[in-house]
Amino acid sequence: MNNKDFIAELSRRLGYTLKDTSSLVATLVSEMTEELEDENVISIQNVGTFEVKKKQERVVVNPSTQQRMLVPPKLVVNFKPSASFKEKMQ
Amino acid sequence: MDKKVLVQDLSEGLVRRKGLSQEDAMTFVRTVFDLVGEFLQTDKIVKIKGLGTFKLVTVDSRESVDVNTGERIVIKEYTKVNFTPDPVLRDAVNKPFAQFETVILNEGTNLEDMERMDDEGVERIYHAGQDGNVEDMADGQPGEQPQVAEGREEDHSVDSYGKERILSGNTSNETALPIETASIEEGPEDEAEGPMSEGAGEETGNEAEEQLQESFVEDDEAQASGESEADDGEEEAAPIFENPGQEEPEACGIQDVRPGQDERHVSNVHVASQQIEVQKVEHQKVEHQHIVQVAPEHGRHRVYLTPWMMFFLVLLVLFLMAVSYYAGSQLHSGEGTSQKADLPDKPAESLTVKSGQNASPRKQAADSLKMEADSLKPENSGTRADTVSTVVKKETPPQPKVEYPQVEGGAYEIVGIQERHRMRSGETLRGLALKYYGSKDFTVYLVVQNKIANPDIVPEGMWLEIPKLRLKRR
Repeated sequence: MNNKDFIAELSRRLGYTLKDTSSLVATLVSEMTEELEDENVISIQNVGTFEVKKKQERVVVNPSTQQRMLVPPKLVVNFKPSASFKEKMQ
Repeated sequence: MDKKVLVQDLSEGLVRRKGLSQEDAMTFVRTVFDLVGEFLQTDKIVKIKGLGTFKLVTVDSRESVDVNTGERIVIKEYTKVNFTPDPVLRDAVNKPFAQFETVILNEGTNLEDMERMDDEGVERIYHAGQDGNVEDMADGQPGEQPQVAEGREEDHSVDSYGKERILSGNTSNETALPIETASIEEGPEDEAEGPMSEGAGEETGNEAEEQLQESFVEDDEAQASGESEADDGEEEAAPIFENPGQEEPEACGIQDVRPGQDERHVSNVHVASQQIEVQKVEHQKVEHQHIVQVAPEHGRHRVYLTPWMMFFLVLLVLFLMAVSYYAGSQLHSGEGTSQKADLPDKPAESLTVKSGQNASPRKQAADSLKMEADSLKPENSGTRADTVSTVVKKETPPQPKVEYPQVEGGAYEIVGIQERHRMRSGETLRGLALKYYGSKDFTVYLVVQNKIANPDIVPEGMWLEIPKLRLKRR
């Protein structure tokens, strides 16, 4: 299921044109991106929460060369499905 | 920050930007996520541009232990939702940390690795001594005082390996000092110091020492010329040229000891209160300045010394040696004859005593090369052959081969076979080292003794010789 299928199905259900739908989806996504950039938690009922987590910096060793590398800290998006969503997926 | 954003907030954005009614916007957002759920169920994967990919992953059933009862239970197969953010979203979120990059840690920072790389240890120290010299000579100008304290502190903080380097730095300085010149006449030691002093002769900037070194260099060059002239006697000349190659690892050992012996006061002074001393004593001042320059260099070099740089440094030193040998035999060809009578004997003796049989194959190799060189360059055969043979000596890393293979730089030497062991399935070299010697660190001795190419792959049923070890003395 790729983006195109998704938008096609969405437009069919809601009765919008494909163009409108894709621009709406794009707006929604950029909205979410902005919120996540501000490190807000996006919580969608019956689906789950998107939140930003900080991964601590760490040292990794290349097992073949024994080269040690320091991996910098980073912020990653984490999605945690809600219990009902998980239930639905079983 | 850390605000909770709900569907309502998202739809408000849509209302604001797209002019949808509040109700439509809400429905839209809900439908999007409902659809994600539905498609996940049917297709197992949903991609949304700009947001990411939702995926259903099946986790196989597995056994586990109930934390409360301790009973074995089976966790049933289940599916979980996996979300991988789109690169756009990922980068946008990571923007605050975007400037960080993965850094490769330098060798200087991993201290545990030092022990593991024992083999290289000796060679490194040896190189360090060499490059310490070169730098010492290159910027032999008086340095600034403030660096003294800095450099020293750095020294104290480093491990024993570092100390050894510093010590070698010390001793190399001493070669340039009046105190040491006395010991030049003493014996085989000055053979080891030879190359260093010659390097000094080339580039030193210190006026006062110049003369002393000159005489020192003359001594050595006299030797060199004496050797080159010594009735073309290959047997005599060869062992002498063995020395720069052969004795230098020993020189490392000597350098450990000597600062304690004859220069104890100097080193004590360094550690205790150099700054005061610096002002008081002129000679020591000179010394300090040398050390000052050596010490910070070391600090920096631990960071930047790559194998290639080491290689080039060694080449440079070799080149200097070759040049000085050449120049020495040209200039002082007449003078050395008186000294040649007694001087060449000592190194020859020391060689036979120290590394009797193993010297001979090398000597032969050197001889054959010398012969070649002779036949190629008949005009100045003596000097050319000398340089060739010294170069050859330096490039083959010195390793004392007794009857058993040795671990270079290891604290123990292999003196015999203690036992024979047959590898069984599930046994590792580390395990054996632990069993026989009480520490995994001894694995290297097993590897060396049994000439194992890859210590991670040892065939089952292979007979291993467990070497008997003895603590090395320096």
